[in-house]
Amino acid sequence: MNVLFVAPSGARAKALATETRRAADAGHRVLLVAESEAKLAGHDLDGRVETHWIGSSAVSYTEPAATRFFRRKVPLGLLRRVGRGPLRRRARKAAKHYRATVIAGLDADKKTRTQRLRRDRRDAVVREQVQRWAPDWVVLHEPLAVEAVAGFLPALIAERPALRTTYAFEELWDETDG
Amino acid sequence: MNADRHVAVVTPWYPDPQVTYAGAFVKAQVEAVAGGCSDLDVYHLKSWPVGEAGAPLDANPEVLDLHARLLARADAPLATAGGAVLHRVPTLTPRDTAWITHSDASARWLRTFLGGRPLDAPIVHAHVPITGGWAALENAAPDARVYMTEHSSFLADLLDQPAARARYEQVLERADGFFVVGEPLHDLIAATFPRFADKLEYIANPIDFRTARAEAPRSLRRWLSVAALNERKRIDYLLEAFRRCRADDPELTLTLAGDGKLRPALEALAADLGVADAVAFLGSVDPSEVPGLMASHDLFVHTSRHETFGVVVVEALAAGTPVLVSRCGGSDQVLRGIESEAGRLYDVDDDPDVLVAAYLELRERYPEKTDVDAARELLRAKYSYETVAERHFEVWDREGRR
Repeated sequence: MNVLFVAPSGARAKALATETRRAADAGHRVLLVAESEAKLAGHDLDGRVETHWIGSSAVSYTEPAATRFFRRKVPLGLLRRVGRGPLRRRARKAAKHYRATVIAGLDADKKTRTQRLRRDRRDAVVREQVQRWAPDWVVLHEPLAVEAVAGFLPALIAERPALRTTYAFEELWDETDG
Repeated sequence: MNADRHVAVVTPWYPDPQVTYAGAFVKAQVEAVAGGCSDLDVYHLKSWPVGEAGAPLDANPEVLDLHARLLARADAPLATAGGAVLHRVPTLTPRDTAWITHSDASARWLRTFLGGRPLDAPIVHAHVPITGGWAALENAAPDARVYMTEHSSFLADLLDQPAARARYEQVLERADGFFVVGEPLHDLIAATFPRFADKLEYIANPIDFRTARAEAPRSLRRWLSVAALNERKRIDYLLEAFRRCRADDPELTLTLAGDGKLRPALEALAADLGVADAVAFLGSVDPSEVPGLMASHDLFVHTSRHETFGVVVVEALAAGTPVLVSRCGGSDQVLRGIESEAGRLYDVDDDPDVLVAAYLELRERYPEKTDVDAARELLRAKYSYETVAERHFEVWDREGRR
């Protein structure tokens, strides 16, 4: 079987290494979609596991040049210049207030937009890999995995009811003497 | 197997490939009782936080709908201790610290997992009443008996939340039997809900007594701590006390088994104190490795500020290793009456010299004025798998005979 592990953050890296190895040992072809190799460092991923890295951390929102210039650089530059004169204290106070309100707002907006971009990238890559791989079994290995596939997995299951979905790849009870 | 006992265990904590020690005592309970049950199913309601911090669980219905569909088709019963069957039930929770939402989520997702049908067992034993206990009560069959065991070290914080406290009272009222693993929990619950004080009973976590060291330690030089590296365990205090003892005896070593956010800071502290070469940080260890670790050291040192039971203290003595333990609640109860035989208790105090003095006193009288074997036998009678299993059977069968 083609077993696809979806683990966008790789937050459960130790379990991921154990379970992907178990899947490979069971004779499956195993693909892992996760954020980056660095997230799994030190957990000895089995060489038989094929990997595809999402790399969403490389994506970040770029503020328009006009915003950077007119709302960050110019006001603070102006206040810096004013601060060189007799209004030093007032200028410093105004700059502090400006940073706490306008700049902090811009930073928060930048962070939100970056998170959205990264989420979009994550969801797109996961969707692309699921389509490319046509897995027989999808392991949603962490909470983010459920969020990442929510937009397309229901349709895929409707199309392919035999698609197996689980949250882990551990030793099944019916594989033991139990 | 006993044909009469069909049991479901509901728990938010159970070891998995990521955290092999989380809820190891629940797994030990399962292993202890499995042989006496005709069927034993474990439902592991592991918390899976989703969404933005502070957002309600229902903020993204698409994710909840999918999870509900997947739970209904994802049951892959797993093998666990003693031939029991394990069902992992990922429990989507909001990213918040309100225990009431986690309690609701536990009941909700177990219901979804079961397809709306009740748990197929006349005996249900839950762990952690606010989550596992509530989920069990809400999903047990009408004529099933529901018991629960409280182990939580966070109970005081939980009871500070009004909604969680009200839920806890409901759980106490509805449970057929309510157990605690140690006196600190008993006292806290009895003080908070006096009308249920008579309902509280003790039940121990089972400890493996099957392996003991071949011979007693000759000297108390190889220290061992098995504890998470967090503030409550006071490993910084241990390092300072160890430094002071080592100034007197350069052959002392300290092994720290356990991991946590404080690890980098503690490694830096060990270096600053000049003891880095004598201190080994092992990181987290598998529960199966603990008896061997205990047996390969001379002294088990515990510095925790607060414990609900004190599993590791019993594990040390089960391996035949003397102990030097803070009076942190659970450990006091465990060692009552056998303190000097088992080793030494000392008061929780910020002054490392308290631990130093306790160590020197113990070293002085060890081994002649200790009797670790006697302490071990006494604890075996209370905490062995067989004893704890019998205690469960007695409770489960007693109610059945009523």
